[in-house]
Amino acid sequence: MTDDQLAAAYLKRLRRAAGGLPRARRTELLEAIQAHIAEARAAGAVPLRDVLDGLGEPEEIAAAAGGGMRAGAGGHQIAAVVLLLAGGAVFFIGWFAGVVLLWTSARWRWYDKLLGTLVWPGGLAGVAVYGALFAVSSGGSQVCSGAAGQAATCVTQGGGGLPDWLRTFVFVLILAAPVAVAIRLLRRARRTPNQDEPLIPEPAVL
Amino acid sequence: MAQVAQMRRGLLPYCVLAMLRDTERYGFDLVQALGAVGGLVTSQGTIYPLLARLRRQGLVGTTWRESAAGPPRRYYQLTSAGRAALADFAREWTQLRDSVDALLGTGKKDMT
Repeated sequence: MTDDQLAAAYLKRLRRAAGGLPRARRTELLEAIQAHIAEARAAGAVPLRDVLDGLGEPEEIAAAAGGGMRAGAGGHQIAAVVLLLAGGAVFFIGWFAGVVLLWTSARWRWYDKLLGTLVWPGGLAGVAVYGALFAVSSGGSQVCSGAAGQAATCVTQGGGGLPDWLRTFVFVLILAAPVAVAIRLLRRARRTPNQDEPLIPEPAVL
Repeated sequence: MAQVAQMRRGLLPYCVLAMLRDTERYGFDLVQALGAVGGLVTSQGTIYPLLARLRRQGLVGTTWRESAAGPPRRYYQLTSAGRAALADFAREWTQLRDSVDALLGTGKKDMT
């Protein structure tokens, strides 16, 4: 990446992280950081990467500006969670859209994003597909024996050697996991803005 | 040490005011100077929201000035309210520092 691209990417991240600020304050913040980067580059004493490291994470700067992020889950976050959960019903495309929304939101940490992606691909529709596959591959099959004309004796064999109660339990667990993850994502989206308190109290004691 | 971070955060506004006591400074200059002190600022970028807040609180004023090299710079200077707040803080701080030093046994033992 060239320095121009590096600086642009940093400012873009900051603009996104500061999305919850009133417009005037966000503009002021972005201009100040932009000016800082320009001054540092003009001085040329330090590689740009180190300048940006010195500035800190854009999210941290936005949080210091107070209300760097909107309180409560926004439309973006709610759409992401709904699509992850139910979007798979439309040939998985909805689910992919949910993944994109998940990863483009600044409201979640990377591990939450990973969790949202991996549990489970396809969401609830994915679970239905896995369930069907599971039932086909290891579901109970009937084995009948007995000569023609006699009452056939049929034995139902449990799939995969697992007892029925265990299979039900596993299935419920698999079904519950994405719902639990969805609830977690919504809660995290709501909680993130409050993790960093403002730099100084407002109105300040000053 | 979350408490230390908290303390640092509480002191930083006054350190910024102190940096402007004798001279006005533009943002980059101020951040550089603060960074040089050491132990005060972990993320330089957070100084800018702080400056904006001090301005909204009327403790610093800003003026745009032409720069010999590059675009105009925004200079920050203390207002009379900022000067008063700094003086109040300096008084409180001296007292507090002496008391804590005495308790820790690191500073002047004789408090009289």
